[in-house]
Amino acid sequence: MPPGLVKAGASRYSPPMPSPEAPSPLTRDALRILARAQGLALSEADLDTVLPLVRATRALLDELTDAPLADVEPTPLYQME
Amino acid sequence: MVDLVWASMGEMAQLVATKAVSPVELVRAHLDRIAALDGKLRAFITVMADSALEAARAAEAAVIRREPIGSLHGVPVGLKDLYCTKGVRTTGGSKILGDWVPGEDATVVTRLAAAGGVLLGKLNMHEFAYGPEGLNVHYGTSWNPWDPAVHRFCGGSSSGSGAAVAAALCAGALGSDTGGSIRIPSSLCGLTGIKPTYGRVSRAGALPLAWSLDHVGPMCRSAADCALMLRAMAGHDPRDPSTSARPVPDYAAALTGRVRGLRVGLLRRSFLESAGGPQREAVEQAVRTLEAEGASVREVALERMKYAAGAAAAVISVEAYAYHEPWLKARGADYGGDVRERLLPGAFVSGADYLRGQRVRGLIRAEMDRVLADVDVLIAPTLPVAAPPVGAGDVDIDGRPHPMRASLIRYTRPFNVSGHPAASVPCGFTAGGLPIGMQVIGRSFDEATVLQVADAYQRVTDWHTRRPPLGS
Repeated sequence: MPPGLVKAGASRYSPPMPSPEAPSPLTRDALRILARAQGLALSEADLDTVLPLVRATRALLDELTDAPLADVEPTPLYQME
Repeated sequence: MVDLVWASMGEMAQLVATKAVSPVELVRAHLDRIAALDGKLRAFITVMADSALEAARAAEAAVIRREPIGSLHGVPVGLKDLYCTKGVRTTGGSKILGDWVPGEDATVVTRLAAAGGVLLGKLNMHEFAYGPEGLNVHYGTSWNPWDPAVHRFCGGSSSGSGAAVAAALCAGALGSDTGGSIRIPSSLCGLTGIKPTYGRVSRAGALPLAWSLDHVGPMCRSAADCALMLRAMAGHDPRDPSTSARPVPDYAAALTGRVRGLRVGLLRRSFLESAGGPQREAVEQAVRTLEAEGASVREVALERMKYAAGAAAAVISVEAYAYHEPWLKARGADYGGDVRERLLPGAFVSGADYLRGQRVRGLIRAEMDRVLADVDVLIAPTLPVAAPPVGAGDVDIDGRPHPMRASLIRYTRPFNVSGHPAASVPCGFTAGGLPIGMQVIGRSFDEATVLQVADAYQRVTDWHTRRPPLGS
């Protein structure tokens, strides 16, 4: 197996995928740029408040990276039963 | 008159149907109580006194004329202020919608009225339903009726629903639940509330927090009342394509009072083991009670629960931001600071992260289904703590501080992620007289068994019948 690829486990259909690289830490300047790009006018005080909250959210999302998701599709928003 | 407002919804409906009590008398008794107590409790944002009395007079006339009447005929109910009401302002607990008057009723409002329910008013809530404390900087934070001396949270986001039903300002109320917003205030206010299966009750006309996590349900003083109210609300709605076409059972008929032969799974790992001492003790005792009534109990574990917080964060942050983005950009200063801060991180979550969260929900739901194939219901604490004082930043669990918000939603959020039905049922009190709740979680679309277990428990315990120390 080439370096950087992980086994697909018991998956029937999912090919091996590269391991995700850890993103670089989010900085205040990066957040300012991202906010502007989205049309969000955040003050310097806003950035101070929001930065740790965004980091905390990203930390929670990072907990999902080892979830065994091969062959698992997104839960449908509309479940007609 | 005091006892009349404390009657169950079923008793009220019976009293009205047999002409023992006029709906006008019933509504006036509740309006008088609101006038006397709500200055402190702040349960209501808008009291609909005139239209409620008009509806009560019409209900009275219908009884006199012996017209067919519904299961809630003449019974006063409250609506969390995120349900649209035609001609009556619907604020979502916000300044932004402070003057908004919808042109149409939410489906559940229409259905409750069609069952004869008298709409008493619109109830306070955490702004836009985004908070488990029940904090509201615009309309005041509801006061938990169980402690007249200390301003304690009712829990959120359906805080006004919790305060109003607990204080008998209305007989039952609509809540909504995205991460625990029916069950948290039900637990903190000593009520029984059920978050039905996703798709069981229409969300049409309810202001969304997160479309794929929002659930609509009742908050009442007993499981029997929840059964009555849920039956009136549930079922397919063409206005909400997520609603199921499955038939709605007669939930009241499922309340046999028996649990003999039922298999109960106790969630200790990740749930009971991390709750505070009084909560652990109360839930353990409740499980012993169910066992004594003939249920078989065994411990079960949900291994995928470790992903629930991340999946919920991915989904709620993006969906909530998507809904609020135009207001955040145009009227950001009109939000309460806590809600604005909670909404903004959603702008920085990617589409891939969002869909990973939705995929993980599939994992969690599949595991829940597997576990519930071997047991009929699961039992867990609703909360690790009792009602915290307003202004507290942390909660104390066995002498250690824990972050408030994360602690309040820890045990409830997983079942929004999975979509399974979950009720909170009073199961004890702390030494300081604050209510404790336990969750009963069931299979998808099997609210009947959840309510059956809750009702059977309430037939042999009296926690749900106790009244807060309001002086009347």
